[in-house]
Amino acid sequence: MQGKQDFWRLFRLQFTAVVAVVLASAARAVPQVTVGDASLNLTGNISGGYSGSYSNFGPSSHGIGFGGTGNLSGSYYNPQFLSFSVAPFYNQSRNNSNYQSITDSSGVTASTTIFGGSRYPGFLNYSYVYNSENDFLLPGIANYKTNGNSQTFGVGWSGSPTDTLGFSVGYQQATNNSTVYGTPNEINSDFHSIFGTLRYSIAGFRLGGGIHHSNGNYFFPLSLAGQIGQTNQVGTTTYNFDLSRNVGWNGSTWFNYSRYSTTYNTVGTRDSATDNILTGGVSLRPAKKLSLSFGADYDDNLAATLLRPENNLGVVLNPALPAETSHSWGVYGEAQYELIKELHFTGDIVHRQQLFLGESFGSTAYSGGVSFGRELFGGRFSENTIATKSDLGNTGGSLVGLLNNAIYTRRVGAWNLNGSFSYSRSIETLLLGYTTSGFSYSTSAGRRLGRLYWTGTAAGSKSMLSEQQGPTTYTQSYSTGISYSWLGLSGSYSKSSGLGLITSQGITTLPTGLPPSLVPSPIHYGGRTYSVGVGGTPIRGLIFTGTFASTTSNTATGLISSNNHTEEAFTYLQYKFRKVFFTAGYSRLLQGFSASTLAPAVVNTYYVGLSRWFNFF
Amino acid sequence: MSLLFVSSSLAREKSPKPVMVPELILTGGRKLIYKGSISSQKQVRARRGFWNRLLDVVAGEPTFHDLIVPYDVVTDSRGRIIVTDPGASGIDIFDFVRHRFKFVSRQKHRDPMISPQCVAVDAADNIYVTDSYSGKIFVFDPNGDFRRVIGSLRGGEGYFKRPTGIAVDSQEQRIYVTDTLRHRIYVLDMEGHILQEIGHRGTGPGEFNYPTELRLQDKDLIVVDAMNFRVQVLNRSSGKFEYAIGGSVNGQAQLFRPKGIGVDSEGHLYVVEGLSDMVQVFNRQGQLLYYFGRPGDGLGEFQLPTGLFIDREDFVYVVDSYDRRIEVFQYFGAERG
Repeated sequence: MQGKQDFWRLFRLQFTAVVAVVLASAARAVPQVTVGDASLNLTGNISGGYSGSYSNFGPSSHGIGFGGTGNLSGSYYNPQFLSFSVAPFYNQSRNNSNYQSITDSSGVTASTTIFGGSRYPGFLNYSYVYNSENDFLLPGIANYKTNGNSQTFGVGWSGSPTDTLGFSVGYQQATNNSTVYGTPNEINSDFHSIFGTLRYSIAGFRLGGGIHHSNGNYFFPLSLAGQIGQTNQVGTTTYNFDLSRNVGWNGSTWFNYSRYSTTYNTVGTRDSATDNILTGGVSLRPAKKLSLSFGADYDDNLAATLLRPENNLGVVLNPALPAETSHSWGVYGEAQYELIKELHFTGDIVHRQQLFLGESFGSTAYSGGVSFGRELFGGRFSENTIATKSDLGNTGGSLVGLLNNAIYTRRVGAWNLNGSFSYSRSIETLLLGYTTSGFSYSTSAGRRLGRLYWTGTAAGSKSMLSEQQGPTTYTQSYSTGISYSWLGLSGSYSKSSGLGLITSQGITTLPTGLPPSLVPSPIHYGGRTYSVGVGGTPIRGLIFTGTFASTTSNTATGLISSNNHTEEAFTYLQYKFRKVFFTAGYSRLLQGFSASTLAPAVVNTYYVGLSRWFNFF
Repeated sequence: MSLLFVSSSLAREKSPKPVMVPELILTGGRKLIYKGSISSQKQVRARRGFWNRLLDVVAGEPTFHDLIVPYDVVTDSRGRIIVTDPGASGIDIFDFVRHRFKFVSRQKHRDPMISPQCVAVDAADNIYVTDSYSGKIFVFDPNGDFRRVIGSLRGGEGYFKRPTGIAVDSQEQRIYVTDTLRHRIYVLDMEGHILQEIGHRGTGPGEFNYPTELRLQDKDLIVVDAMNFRVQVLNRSSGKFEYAIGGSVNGQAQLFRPKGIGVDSEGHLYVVEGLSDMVQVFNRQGQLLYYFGRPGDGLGEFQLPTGLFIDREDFVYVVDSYDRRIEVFQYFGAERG
């Protein structure tokens, strides 16, 4: 009994405090504040309510809580001299605001620009978010949910002293640490990047150059990656120089040199690679409807070039790069002609020689294509087809490739119909001898039925690497929705499977054309998601929404496999009266991994309260 | 009377720079006085009592509807000010007498009102609005409730190519509407049946080149003949040309971008001149008497002025489109000045 009295005493005190803050804030509202040469605007939202969180994955609590958001923006002297914006937020979640976090999240984002209206503009930005919900990516279906903190910082400055001279320098930094709900392991990433560029024009020549260095440290979740302490450290330095100038026949010529130096430390093994790439060419337009292009390129370390997409993703690399030297060079010519409006013909020839893993490859590829678009049967049809024939010099074999895209859109009576289809077969990748094939489609339809409006979509794709068993990726998705006056219902189903790479941001699909021999630890993934939702605005100012999504998935590497399940339910109700919002929300998350040492995480949160928006000044 | 409220609300306006309320002293004791401007629903509401003010403090003020891109204006017999706002795809009804405001729109699947252009009222205060985008005329009752649409074909398309100016003759039960892209005036009965077509494309008397706004005054039908840079006055029943103002006089144009028009109690013709952001006032002989307004956002200044309307008390309403407001003046004629 005594405890109950204490509770109500505490409740009255806190409620009185909220009302006092609201009244004081409202009474002081003025349009804008000018302090000396500074002009300031402040808007914000103050909220208070009863919330609770029950979880086996973290602390559980309930009670009266307060939160709010703010946005202070302004300028000093002139917006083009110095302008800034600072937006802090405290205890914001999907139950009481538009922050899509299960947990109460807090943080701040800030940005400023200086000399924005001059030839020497600079910027600085910063953000810190604490205890927020995020996604661990899963291609094609609903992502896994994580909880953690993140921080970003960036600063940059650029200048154009004259019309012919310009430069830019900058630094970016980002850190993230989080935990996948249902697993005990942290995911960490720490990324730094610094760059500088310079451009100059003289005597019709355009010169440009730059240096870019980045360094990343990544730590993956054990329950999915399968190795204890699986960390990866990657440093990349890029030097770039380019030169171009205009020539006759409305053309231009160019030359580019890039040098990439990569060092990495994977599971305690250090290695490095450097590749130099030279490209050059000329583009001409001798007639209005005819354009020509010729070029050549050379790469002195093909293996390092092929690995770069993996590097950029921060994935685990082979303990050591192939010891054999590799290189690649090629020349090409291309012509494009517009016969009539929206009817184009293209033709090109490419010759390429490569040395990779001690084996020499040669190829001469000829391709021709046509693209056109026109009104057809009351709708709009566009089509693009390219056929390729490649002669492989070292094997004497040849390949015929085809790439086709078709799109059709029209309205049939009350129906709105859209469709597109794409098909490819034996398309050469960067590494000769490896080709990809696949198809993709997407359709959508909509129709009004009296006061009802129905929509439906279907999409899918499949891609295969010729040297890989089975499809590399395969996705299907279907969705439907129906709306009636103020009420809307929706549902969706998606299915996905394939071969991917595990990164600190999640699982990503395999970069196109990457040889399996350079992928030491791919991850097989597969799963399906279905979801239903309802939402509406029955009366002015009142909105409600409810969603439910369930995902079953599995992942497998050479070391560990896991069956996974994620379920999310969310309901939200809001009534707006002037600048006051009455809000109630409930969220539930269930997420578990069979490979995890923890039981599935269950997080229930709810909130009932009100908030008031202010234009302070 | 209604303008008292406009003036009082004007007193609460804060202007970034010092301004002088314009007052034009004309010959013969005539004068034109700036009365105020209308831009928001907030100006309509009555004086707030204690409890309402307390509610404003605690819950904040309601969200008021502001003009976005006003185009034309008219007043009805109840003293209400009706403004078309293509930017909001609707019309605003300001009732300063009863402290009421209503925003009227029609966002239905069948016959939506998309770009309301010009507006007129009949003797019963029904509201007629041309929609230049859908090619139709929408009719609302005095409460703003939708009554019917004129010019809607079976497939949902509009009959008119680009209806703009509109006027209603309640006595004769006629609707006059300009179809700018057809270079003619249609005379309809109240059900929308075409009774007469006036004019065709050309530069001669009684011919039009992209006509826009029109007004009925006594026996006259006054039409802005925009791309002939003139205002033509026709006989409203026969459609015969009577005289024109503007055009080329001694090789010099008098009107460059004529927009809204109106006629005061002394028969003077007011023409909005869009190029120089002013209103020019002519007598019936086409002689320029005086002008008022200049480019700017101050009191009595205009930026992209469009519609104009003069009521029976010689209040002159000018739509200052870019400044998102209606500026109100009052003309005092010789006998009243």
